Amino acid sequence: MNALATARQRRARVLAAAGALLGVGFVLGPTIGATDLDLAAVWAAPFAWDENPAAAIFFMARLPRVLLAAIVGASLALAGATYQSLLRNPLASPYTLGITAGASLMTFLVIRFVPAGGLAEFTVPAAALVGALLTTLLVMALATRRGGTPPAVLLLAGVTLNFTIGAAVLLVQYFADYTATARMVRWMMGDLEGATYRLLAIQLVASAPAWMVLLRRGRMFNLMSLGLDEAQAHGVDAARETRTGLLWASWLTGVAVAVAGPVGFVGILVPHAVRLLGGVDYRVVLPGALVGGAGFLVLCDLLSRWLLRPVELPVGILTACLGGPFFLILLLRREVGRG
Amino acid sequence: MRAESSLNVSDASFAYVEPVVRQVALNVSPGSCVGLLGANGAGKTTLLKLLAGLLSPDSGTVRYGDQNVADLAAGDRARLIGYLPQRIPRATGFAVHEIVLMGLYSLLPARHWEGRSEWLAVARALRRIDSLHLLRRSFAELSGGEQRRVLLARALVGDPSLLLLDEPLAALDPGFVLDFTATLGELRDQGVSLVISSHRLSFVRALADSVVVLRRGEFIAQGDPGQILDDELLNAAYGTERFGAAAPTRESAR
Repeated sequence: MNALATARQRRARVLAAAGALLGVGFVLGPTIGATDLDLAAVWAAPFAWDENPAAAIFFMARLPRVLLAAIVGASLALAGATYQSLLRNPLASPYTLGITAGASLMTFLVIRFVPAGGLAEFTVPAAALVGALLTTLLVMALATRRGGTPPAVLLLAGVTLNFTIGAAVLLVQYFADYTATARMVRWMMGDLEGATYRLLAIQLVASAPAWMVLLRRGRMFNLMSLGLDEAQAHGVDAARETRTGLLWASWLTGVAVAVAGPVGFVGILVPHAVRLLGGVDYRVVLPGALVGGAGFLVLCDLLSRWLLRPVELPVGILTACLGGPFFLILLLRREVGRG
Repeated sequence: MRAESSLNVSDASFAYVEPVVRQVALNVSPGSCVGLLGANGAGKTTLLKLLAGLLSPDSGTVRYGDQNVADLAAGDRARLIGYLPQRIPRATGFAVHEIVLMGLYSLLPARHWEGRSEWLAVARALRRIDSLHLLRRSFAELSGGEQRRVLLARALVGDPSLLLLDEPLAALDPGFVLDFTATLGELRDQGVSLVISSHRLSFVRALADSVVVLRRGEFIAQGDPGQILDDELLNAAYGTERFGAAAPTRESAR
């Protein structure tokens, strides 16, 4: 089926499906939640937030949260697809390279040593971003050989660093008091609480350039996914593109994790679903992951607010609950298909 | 675009850890064909990667015209050189035409959707190696020989002026080898320079203007294949004494 459609047609198909998903999320997201909302009441006085609690919930609590979910989901999925091409591994994610671990460590250090309140609104996200970027630089430095950065070595360096940083994370957690530990555990679960329009603006300004940089690299990522020599022989400066791609993907991861915590599986699950629908061409996978990731996380966030209402589940728990079974099904289907 | 410059290797050495290519010198003039012979591990693939600019020599130079190949911009190098890797990439999910299209990467802008002219080029390259029927197949599901044909088409699709083929005949059937030898001969006559590593002596003899025999990274002989490829040289190159001796029979092989 896929082989007969051109890549362009497949991209159109994938974008239509992902766009529909995002559309549904945008419509349902702000309307459904822990409390029932009367839309007529919202629109009766949409901007009189002080007098109209319905409008306040809709515009101040839910809408920014939905938009934040979209931006975070888009970034995580696009970054995931990037890692998968550059590492030549369909299961690669920010976790694989220890980048989320690095973000966690820096965040935990801040939670442990910087008093809560006051500047914490900025210090925690900044720490996560710095942690993500420092880890990326460290992984690349560890894996660079004679000017090249072979994917296998990158993967090995990342996994090793992941374990090492994981140990440091445990140490910091152990020596933190109960309040701090609780904040750490909560952060690890990944959450979209506390979205504001100012935060949204910062997110968008920080993420959009990276989206642009990565989206135009589809043809190049196709070659990179075949191997360094393959890419190099066809005119890709593989060493430079590996650095560029990893840094921008890690920037996106860092920016997303800074506000949402390490929401797992979005970066693996969404590109995979896009490939099932539209094939492996990165000119399809990248835009598909961007829009699909946005739609996916908006809907996950919606479910996490709605499933156990009035209790709101951290969205990271939900994505993790979906991610495991998704791959189990893929695995079993493939095994059955082979037998 | 046809080669007007020579590819010139002078005193080039390369080591991964141990030296693999040692102080070799080679000249490939436009429209000529050089065959690389040598036992497994003699350094043929590394030498081809040096020629392709995938590796830079530790000492010495690899130049195309008056430019170091390794210093050429990646895109310029790719437009100039068609390279067939020995190792077939794992390309799960890509169709044959998509693989061949990758050969045009450096000729097209970064964001590009292939159109009529690219499709025609792909079809032409596949027809040239008699594999147009594979166009819509999934690359990963082809046989090893078919995959190599597709990669050959990819190396040809951009009309490079220098073709570097690393073991192009591995896993190819004898009928195709004959056709392919003729195709390469045509290209050479059109002015394309060829450097080919192979273990098939008859193929190299039929095509190459000159051969280079490698042993442990060094050239032990270089010249006209008709003149230098004698049993003594082949025995030295491949570390055996069987060239020139009686061919092994069913009895002796037991």
